[in-house]
Amino acid sequence: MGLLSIIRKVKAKEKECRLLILGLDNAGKTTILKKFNGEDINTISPTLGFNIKTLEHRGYLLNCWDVGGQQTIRSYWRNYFEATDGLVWVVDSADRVRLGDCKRELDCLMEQEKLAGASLMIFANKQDLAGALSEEEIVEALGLKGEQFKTRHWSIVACSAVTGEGLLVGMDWMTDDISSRIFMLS
Amino acid sequence: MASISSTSTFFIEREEFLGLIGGFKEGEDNEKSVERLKTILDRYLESPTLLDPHLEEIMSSLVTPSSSMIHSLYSSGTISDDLSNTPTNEGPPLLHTYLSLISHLSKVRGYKTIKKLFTHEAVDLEPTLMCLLSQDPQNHALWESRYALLLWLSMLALVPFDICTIDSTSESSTRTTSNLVETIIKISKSYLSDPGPVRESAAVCLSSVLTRPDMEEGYLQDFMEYAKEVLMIRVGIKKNDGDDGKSNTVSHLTDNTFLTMGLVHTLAHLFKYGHREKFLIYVDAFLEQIILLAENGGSQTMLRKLLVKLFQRVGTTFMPVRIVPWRYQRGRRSLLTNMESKGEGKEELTESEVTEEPDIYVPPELEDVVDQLLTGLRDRDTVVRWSAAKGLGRITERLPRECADDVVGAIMELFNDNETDSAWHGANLALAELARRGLLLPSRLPKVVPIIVRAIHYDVRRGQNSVGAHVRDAACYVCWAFARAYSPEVMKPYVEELAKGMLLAALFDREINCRRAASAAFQENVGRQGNENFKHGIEILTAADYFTLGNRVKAFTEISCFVAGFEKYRRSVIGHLKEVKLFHWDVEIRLLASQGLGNLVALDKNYMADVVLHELISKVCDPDLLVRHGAVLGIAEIVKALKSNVSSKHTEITNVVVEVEKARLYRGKGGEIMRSAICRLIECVSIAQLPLPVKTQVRLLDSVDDCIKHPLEEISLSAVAGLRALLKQYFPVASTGPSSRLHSRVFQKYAKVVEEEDNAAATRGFALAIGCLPAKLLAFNDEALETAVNLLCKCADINFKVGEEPDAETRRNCVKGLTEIVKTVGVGSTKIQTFPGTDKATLTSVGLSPPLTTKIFTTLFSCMEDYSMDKRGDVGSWVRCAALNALETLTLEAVDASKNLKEASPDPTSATNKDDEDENEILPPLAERMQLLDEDIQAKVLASVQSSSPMNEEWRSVDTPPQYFDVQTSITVLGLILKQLAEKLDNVRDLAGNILHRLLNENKIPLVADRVFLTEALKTKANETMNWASPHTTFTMIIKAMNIDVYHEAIVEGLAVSVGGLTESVVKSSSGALIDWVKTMKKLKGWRHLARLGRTLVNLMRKFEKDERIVVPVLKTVHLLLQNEALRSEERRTAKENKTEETEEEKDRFGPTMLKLVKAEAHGSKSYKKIVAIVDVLIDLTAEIKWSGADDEDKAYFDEVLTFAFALLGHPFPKVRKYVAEQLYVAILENEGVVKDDSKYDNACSVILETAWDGELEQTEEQEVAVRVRRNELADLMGVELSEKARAKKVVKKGKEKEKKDELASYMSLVKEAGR
Repeated sequence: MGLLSIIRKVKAKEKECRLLILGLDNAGKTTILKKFNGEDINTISPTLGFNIKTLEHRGYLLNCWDVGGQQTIRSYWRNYFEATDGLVWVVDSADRVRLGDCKRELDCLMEQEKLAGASLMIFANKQDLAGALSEEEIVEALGLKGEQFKTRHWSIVACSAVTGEGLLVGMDWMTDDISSRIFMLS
Repeated sequence: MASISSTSTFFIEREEFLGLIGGFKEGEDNEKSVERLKTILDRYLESPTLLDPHLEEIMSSLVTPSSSMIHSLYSSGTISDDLSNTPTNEGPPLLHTYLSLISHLSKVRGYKTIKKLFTHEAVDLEPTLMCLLSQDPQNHALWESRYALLLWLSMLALVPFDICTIDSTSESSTRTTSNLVETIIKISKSYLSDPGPVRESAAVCLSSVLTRPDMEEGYLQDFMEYAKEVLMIRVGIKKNDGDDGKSNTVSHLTDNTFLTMGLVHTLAHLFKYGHREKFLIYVDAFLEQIILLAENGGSQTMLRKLLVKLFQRVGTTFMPVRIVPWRYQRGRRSLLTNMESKGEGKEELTESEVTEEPDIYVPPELEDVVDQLLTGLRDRDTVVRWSAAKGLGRITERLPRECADDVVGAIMELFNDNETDSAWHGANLALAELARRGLLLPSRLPKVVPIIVRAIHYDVRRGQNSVGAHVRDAACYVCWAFARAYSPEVMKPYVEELAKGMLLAALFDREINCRRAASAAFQENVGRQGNENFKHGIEILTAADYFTLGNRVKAFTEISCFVAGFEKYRRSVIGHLKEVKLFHWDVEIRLLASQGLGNLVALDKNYMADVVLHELISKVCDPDLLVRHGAVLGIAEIVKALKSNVSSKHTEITNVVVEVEKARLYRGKGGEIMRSAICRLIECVSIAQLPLPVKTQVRLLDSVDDCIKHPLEEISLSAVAGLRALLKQYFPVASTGPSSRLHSRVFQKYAKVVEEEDNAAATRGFALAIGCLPAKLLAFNDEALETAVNLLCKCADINFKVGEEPDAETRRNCVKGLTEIVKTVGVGSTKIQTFPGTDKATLTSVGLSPPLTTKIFTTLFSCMEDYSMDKRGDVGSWVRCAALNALETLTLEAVDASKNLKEASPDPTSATNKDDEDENEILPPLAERMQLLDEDIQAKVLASVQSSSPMNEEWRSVDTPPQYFDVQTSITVLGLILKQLAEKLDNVRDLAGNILHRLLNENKIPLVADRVFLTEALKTKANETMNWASPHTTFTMIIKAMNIDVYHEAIVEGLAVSVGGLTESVVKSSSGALIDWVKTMKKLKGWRHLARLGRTLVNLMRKFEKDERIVVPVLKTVHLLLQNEALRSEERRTAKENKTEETEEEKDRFGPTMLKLVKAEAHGSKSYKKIVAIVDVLIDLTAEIKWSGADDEDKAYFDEVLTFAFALLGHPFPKVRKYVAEQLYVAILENEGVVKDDSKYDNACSVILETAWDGELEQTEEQEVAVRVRRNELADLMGVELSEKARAKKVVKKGKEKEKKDELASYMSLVKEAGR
């Protein structure tokens, strides 16, 4: 294994990252992924299992893992944590009732060792619906200013998976943030 | 979301690939398509990521049909769902085709990428599992299917549901014992001991199932128990034999290395993917055993690698993941945040000040783990070291600062002279890994950098060669990693040292990969650290790029000078060459280093003269051969470059020669290279014109003389080069020539050796030496020159013998010597030359006079006929090649000397078509068209060519000085070259072709007969360098030139040797070209040319009578021509059409002439090869036999042919008789006219067929019908009259044989008795 082949390998790795898309059920995870992929978003049913899509963005290959959000299968999320570069947390901004749930699950995730160091992108989804909370309100509700998030790279973007608004901004941040780290961490 | 707009792809076979997959049909043989698909995939093994954009469609085209097949198998119930059943139905072949392609894809792209692309729906789980269950684990043909299915299962097992909910068995029946999970685990476990790749995917599958959150309690624990037990027994058995009774269940598996590997592999995966805290409890239980296992040492590389992996994972299990606060961070690199901060913070680099790290508990076991990984760094296999390096990186990333620093310290201890090269390599990898992760803190750099610089030149001698290329390469990796890890400020203090290290490696490493790696590392550094830090980085990189450095000579001699042009690097470059590379173990490198040093002199004269030279002189008698050889080489090149700037050291320098000889360093090992080096030194001293006293001059001459006669050609050559320079520079002569003392010391001494010595090495060397004498010693008057030329001409003759033996090298060197003389003295003119060191300053040297020129020409002409052979093969070809070169030189000189040469006028004899009025068709190739033009038109063409030559006018204006070159010489020279161009040796053809090309096109020699045709025939395509060595192209060209009368015979002579040769490619191309020519000639009715070819061949047979080298190939050529009816039909035509004007030649009919010749050749010949060739020709001659309507002359001829054939049928060699019979049979089948009487035809055939022709010739008692009797019978049937003498001849001989036998018998008995 000479330097030249190492370089080739490193370069290939630098261009590839693994994203995990999580959130409560009905937050719009699969819709976002399908929107990214340019697929039809009118016929989406609850994800009973998981989807993997590979997308290219700004020269990076993003392996997106979208796992269902139902309560019953949340305990299996842990199964997918391995080697995750970025976590996309999708919030249904209109679902005020379950915001507490949402915070609890996110906090729980943040404690997972295997996600230490992963960039966190929060999509405040469903901004197209009346009564949707704003970014600031969600930051507040999820306690993102808290101690737990101090050492983590995170960002929040208000978006709508249906219109597509805000999605690109979020993914741009994600790829930038990961690429700035991945240099040193393989 | 913007869709991907560019559809460009690097997967060029995409359409074909998907098409082939889509074309699969059930029940058909798809093997060919599969082969093709796999071939396509294999092309991407090097850069598999190119496939990425298409992986999804490829996989879905494979997975979707497989999935539906598996489902239909499942629902039809044809596959069993019971593990205990013996596998019955493995599924349709098409399914396996798909699955095998999936496996192949994962081989190319890696299973981690491929497995993601399987379906992962819960409904697939059970069918896929059942399908796997119904595979026969022993069926080796289908292992790829099992591999793919296990991989698939590993993905399906990730479904985020309780598996029980999709387990159809658990709800429908009471068979709770065999639920889904259990089955998966059981089947995967069973594949863990597979000897092939299936083991890997089983481990993947197993770990995938067992790390499910719902498995932790029950199944995982069970599996860990099992694994522990197996490993315990595995190591226990080696420790003591007491544990046997404990677990009978697994004891039979303990010897299975494959199972151990499978388990270790699975464990590594489990520890990697599993929940760290849950696995912590298992660590203690395993650690002891795996350490034992590692220490007992797996002999398998794979097992050691897996163990290192497992150690790494165990280590990371001890420590939680965290971003260690002490890590070195090279500022923030996020574009976004950097933009926001608006440049005020620059690159904020922190060796994080957060020193108050929270107390982290480091379990003591971790030390064992790190220990194991450090051992892994020293492993003898690269993969293991690499894995260990990565492992150390990952663990150190989690350690508190002090512990991490300990690890760095431990790694650095590996850079130790007592450690193996493997350890150095591993340590380099580990350092690079740590640096990349920011774990090698800048505070460590002062110690690390010098070590890296040492490692970048690591080269340890092992006997005749050395090891260390991989260490140097890995050191480049460290430099590369540093470039990426540290900020310019941090790197600044070390930049110079590192930059020099990398540059020197890039310029002077022996291995191409290391030079390139160093260049890549340098590039990364310049790019990331800036041109500020790396001085002149960009200029250097531009000159020393990846590709130019690929050429070692260029790197040493050119790019090094460029780099040394920057003062910053100059002394390092010189220093490295003079201290390291000049004494390198590889002689090539020493030579290159000396040349490099010589080139560098101009940049730093004083340093070279005062310091370097002095140092090297002190080393010339070093006990180490490499050092003294390198030193002498270095001195030589530096002196040559310094010239007069050597200052006062010249006595010291010439003393080197004396010292080396006094120390007897020519003797023993390495003596040869020392001789060459000393000769080079003498040459360089002379070139540098160091002032030397006469005594020293003579001393040096003695040294050189001694080396000239060395049997190694290399030494002899460098000695001659030394001699040439020495004599040219020193040894002044008077205007009348050298003193008689000098003359006898040099020329006469050498001449005597060449003429009389019987040591071939001496004659070879001094023949060259005479050629290399300067004009002042060689040509001070006509007489001297004549003596020299005559001597060399005499000794170049093929009959000249050294001692008792002929010696091709001596002849070749004589020819070379002649060439040199021609170059030195020139033809014709008298030259006034100035000699340095002579007071009288001038001396007139004579050139070659017309008779001498002719003499050399004649000698060279005869040298071109040197076809001598010895056990090394065609050694004459060396002489011929030398003569070819000599001819070129002499021709050019001669032409130059006789200025007023006109273009050869079209020789009336070469006019081709006096009587071919009917041949005026328009013909395709110009050469042929020209050939058939009217004479006066041709003359006009020639005239136009001549007048276009600008030199024409000049020549006419000059009066007639002596002539050195004329038309006849020109024709002979060109003919000889053309002949060589038509011959069979590739290298000779290549040389001849190039020389001819130069003479005709570049130097435009005059007096070329039929220049127009010749250049037309040999015209190469524009801008194309002709490869004359390739028979394929050359022969088609040379055949065209064959039509030119003056060169015809020469070319045919060469061509026949090629056509009838043994080298397949040559035979094929030449005979192909010849037959094409025959066809063209027939089409154009060029009978005259065909007839002439026949006559030329006949003449060749006459000229080279009994010379097998020519006769056999000529016969083969004649055979080929006869087979293609080239000679025969022509003859008929000329015989009939030209009745009116029958010339002498035409009376001489081909058939009868040839018959006479072959009869003569066959007489007394013992060569089977030759006789077979004769038989072939003879049988060809029978093809024209036609008794009816033949005149008497014909009849007599036919009779003679057949009689001779029958004589051969009674040949003493059985093989010959058999061959003749076979050929005769074919002949009478093809031409029934051979048999006079039709009614006897069938009988004749059966006699030929039914006789064992290779049986006994004479009738013996046991054998009823001897060959001779049958032969005579056949002769009667065919109406051939054999003389009585021929019929009975052998009776006499039989008596003789018997006598011989008796003699032999008595001899045998004598031997036997003596033996007792």
